[in-house]
Amino acid sequence: MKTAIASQNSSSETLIDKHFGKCSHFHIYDDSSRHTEVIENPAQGIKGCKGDVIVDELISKNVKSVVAGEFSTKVQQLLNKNHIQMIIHPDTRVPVSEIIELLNHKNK
Amino acid sequence: MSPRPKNNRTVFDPPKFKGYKPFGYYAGDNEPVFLLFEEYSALKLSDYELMTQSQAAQTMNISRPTFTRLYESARRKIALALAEARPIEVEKGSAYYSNDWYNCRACNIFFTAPEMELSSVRCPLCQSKNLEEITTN
Repeated sequence: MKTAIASQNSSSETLIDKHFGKCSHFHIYDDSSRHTEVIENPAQGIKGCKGDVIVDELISKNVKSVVAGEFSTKVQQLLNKNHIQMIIHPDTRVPVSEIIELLNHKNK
Repeated sequence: MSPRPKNNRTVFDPPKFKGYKPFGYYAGDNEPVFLLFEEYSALKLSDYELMTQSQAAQTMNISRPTFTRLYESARRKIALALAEARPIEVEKGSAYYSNDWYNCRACNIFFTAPEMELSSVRCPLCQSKNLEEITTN
């Protein structure tokens, strides 16, 4: 299963981003191959609602779960409609690598 | 004649707190102000997500005048709490969650579990089963 984590930059030591729509990058972790792909936020530079563009991109990458500090209502409606799991991590001082580590443990 | 029952107001993610407490000289044992889930949601949609009142009303599945009343009530309650240094407690009103949310008591995250049986739901990060189901349905 693929999980997308909203992050503040492309490095592996980056922190989780508070806003799903306004984040800089997404770290997409595949727990079957244990591979992490980093993509830029496809909606960067778009004014107004960014949810459609991001959710379409994540669906095309077969993402089933997303982690961020906050999701806007419109994004929640879109993710809900597409049966994608939302994970709100209120503490955004956590590095993305720690989340990946936790997702790794899930398979053990 | 009894009044017409209130329609359920759709709310989205749950508030990430149980309440707020003032600190300082006057912050004694004042009676708390009870803020309803839907009032918190109205304030968030309008002043945090910057929706217009009609967009927010549509999102919550209520009429625009009802939304205006909720928003007004939320603002008044928060003003009351600030002016009288009273704590704020969030409580259930006529809110209806658009989907079921869970709070993991072990790692304090909130998550949804689409297409999952209630008995098989675990925290997606720490795998704990010590969960609080946040639903008002």
